[in-house]
Amino acid sequence: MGNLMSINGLRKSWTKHRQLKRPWQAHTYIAIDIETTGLDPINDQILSIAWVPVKPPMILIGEAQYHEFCIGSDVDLQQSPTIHGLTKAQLSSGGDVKKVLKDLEDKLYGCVMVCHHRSLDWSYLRYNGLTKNLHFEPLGVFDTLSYEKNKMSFDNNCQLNNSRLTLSACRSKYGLPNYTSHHALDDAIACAELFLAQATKIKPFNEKLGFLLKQSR
Amino acid sequence: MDIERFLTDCPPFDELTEQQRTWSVNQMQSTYMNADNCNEIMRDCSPALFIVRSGVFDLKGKDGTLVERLEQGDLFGYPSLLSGRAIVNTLQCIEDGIVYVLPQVAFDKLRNQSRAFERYFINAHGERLLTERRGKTAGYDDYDWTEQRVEDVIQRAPISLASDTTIQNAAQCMSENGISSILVVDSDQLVGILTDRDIRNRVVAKGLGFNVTVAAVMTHLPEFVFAHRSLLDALTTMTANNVHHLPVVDEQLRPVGMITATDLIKQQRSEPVYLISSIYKSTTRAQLVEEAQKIPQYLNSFALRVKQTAILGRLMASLTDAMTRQFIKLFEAENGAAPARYCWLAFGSQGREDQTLSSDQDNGLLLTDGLTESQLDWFRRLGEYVCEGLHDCGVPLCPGNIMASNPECRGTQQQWLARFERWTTHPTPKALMYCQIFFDSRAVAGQQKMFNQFREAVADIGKNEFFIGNLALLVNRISVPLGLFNRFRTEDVKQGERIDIKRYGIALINDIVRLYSLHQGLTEPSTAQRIERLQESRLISERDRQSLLEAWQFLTQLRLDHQLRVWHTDEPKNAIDPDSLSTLSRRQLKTAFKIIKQAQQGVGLKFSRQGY
Repeated sequence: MGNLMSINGLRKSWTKHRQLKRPWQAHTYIAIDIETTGLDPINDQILSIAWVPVKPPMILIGEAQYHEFCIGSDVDLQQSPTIHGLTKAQLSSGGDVKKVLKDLEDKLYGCVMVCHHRSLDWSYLRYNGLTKNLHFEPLGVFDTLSYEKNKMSFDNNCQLNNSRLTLSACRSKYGLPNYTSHHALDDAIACAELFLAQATKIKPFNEKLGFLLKQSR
Repeated sequence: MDIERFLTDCPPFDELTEQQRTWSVNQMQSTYMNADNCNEIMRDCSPALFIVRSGVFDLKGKDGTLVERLEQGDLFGYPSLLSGRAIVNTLQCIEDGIVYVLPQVAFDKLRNQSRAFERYFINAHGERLLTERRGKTAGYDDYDWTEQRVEDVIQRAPISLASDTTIQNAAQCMSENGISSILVVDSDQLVGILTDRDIRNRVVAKGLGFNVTVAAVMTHLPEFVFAHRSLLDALTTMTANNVHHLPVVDEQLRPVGMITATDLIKQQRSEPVYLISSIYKSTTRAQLVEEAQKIPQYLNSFALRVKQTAILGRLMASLTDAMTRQFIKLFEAENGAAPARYCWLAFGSQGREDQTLSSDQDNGLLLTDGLTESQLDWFRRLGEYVCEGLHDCGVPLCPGNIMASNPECRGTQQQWLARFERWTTHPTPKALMYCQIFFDSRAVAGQQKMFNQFREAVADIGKNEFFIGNLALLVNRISVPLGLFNRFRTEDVKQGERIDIKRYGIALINDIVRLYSLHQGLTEPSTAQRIERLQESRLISERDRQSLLEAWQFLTQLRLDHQLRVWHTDEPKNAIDPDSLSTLSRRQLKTAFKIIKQAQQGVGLKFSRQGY
């Protein structure tokens, strides 16, 4: 047991272990979408971020958050992409990224993060956590893309083509409507809906959270 | 944001301000419903307004019968929001999907803030959705003068005198009352009309004495119009006969007043009269055909100006009537006057006055007994001449050959009645189909009295319960689509999945209303008029009559809009693509189908026990 594992850490790990054994419906999920200037969290920047809480079976649209950031100081506010009316007041300047991510840190604590394509969103959060001294500690991450990929390779044992795994391609498999915009808020909600569709189909209906997370690695 | 965009096309949210809509999005939750969880979610969230974003769900009543098929853009749960009663319906999931949930508190707040929002749900709850109209669809004139009834326009009690009155007394009476024409009535029956012009031309100009009787100078047996007909009908009759005064009579042909061209001009706003009168002014066959070519284009512009498109079905019928009369006149000009009394009959859609641009001809001739071979031949040639002429004018020939050019469709009252008798006592499928056409008849030209006699005899035959029972069974054989997007419910026409709103909508309502009318012995051919007259019937409630009428008007409107849009294309004329409709129209179409289904079951219960 050494000094790596404090009593606090042990308690956390034990709590988490217990949480993972509860049915997935008993948890709160935060579906996230991050729009960035590129794929590299070190050199690229976050343009906008949106999240929406899910308390199965409901997606709490009214509690959704959307933030858009100006990049650098020479960008004219007028030219930034049109912002959804709901969130006009929430337009943040670059300096507020930390404040927004701090909110998200609070939100994610004890909840399950949901995203489509974990490696991108999660790596941005981790990098920003390191540089801004934030600790994103969700109970786990459910990746709707990985879940679908695992399910397909299990079902057909076939070569997977990435175009069949985009958010809208996955959604259409569940008969979910096609949202045409690429707005972080729509994508976060779209991802939350996809997650509910995927999870609702799992048998038995009250499967443990741990099982779900395993299926989406 | 997607949800906001979706709500912009989702009545009644489209009536909210942008701010109110955004606010309501913030009050909503979204959920994924499937067979396992849909009832639980509905129970747990109620009372709330549910909005179907995707998927298909059947809403079932307490007894398990289908209340409504819910599809994209449909709303449910509001009856319990409005009434405060618990939800008793259950859901059956046909296809999983996303459903938005708006809780009671938010719903109530929106109701308080927006009258349009409130009104929509009050209407929907009272199954009055078909009365919802959107200003945005524009072009509606709130007032349509041609739709008014003659009896609503004639202002005073009829002023009349007997035919043995002297001209001097008549003139005195007219000047006392300040009128330019007067009805001449003997023992309650209209016998003539006397106008200022008659006194000038036939008395003063000819130097006759003032003691001459009215009978000697009046116009005998003048054209007239029934009090319950529309101003359009009055106008048509005036133009056809080039008269400016029309006696108005009730159904027993008793005079109730007079309507004049001046009365009409006062009411006039837009005038289909030009087209009708140009048809009557045609002096050659070619000219008439040329005038008729203008009809589709004319209807297109006229359709935008009228409030109720039911009027267009009648206008089309009036135009076909006008063409028919004019062809008869042209034929008589070449071949001499009719050798005997007769009546030109219109059946089917022309008879019902719900004709469309694609309706084909349904007509026949009622002849007197004992005609000679050469007289019969005259009528044969008349039938052929008129039917061909109508065809050239764009009214297609009847594929079932129900036309006066067919010897089967020319007969004496006895011959016609024998056919009706045969159809009703031996109801083969073909006979029943004939009945759905031939029982909707109207006299277009010739002797109205001859027709009335015939029509009453036909009504007697139609009361046969065994026959009505079989028609009721036939009506119930057609399965009304309650959902719009489910594959097996839509007709597979070559352009894709469509719904035939004539077959599953308008024709079924016509059939249902005809059943009640046959039972009641009504002689009116038009569905709207029949529905009105059915207030005398104990078999159908006020509410059901109203619903049927609204459904019929809605479908007629929908079909007309569609036909005008696809007129010069290969698109089917009676089948519409549900995807092309606005959310409101889709909901209304479903409401209409629901009403039809209920009415269908109603006639099944009421009549079909007598059938096979």
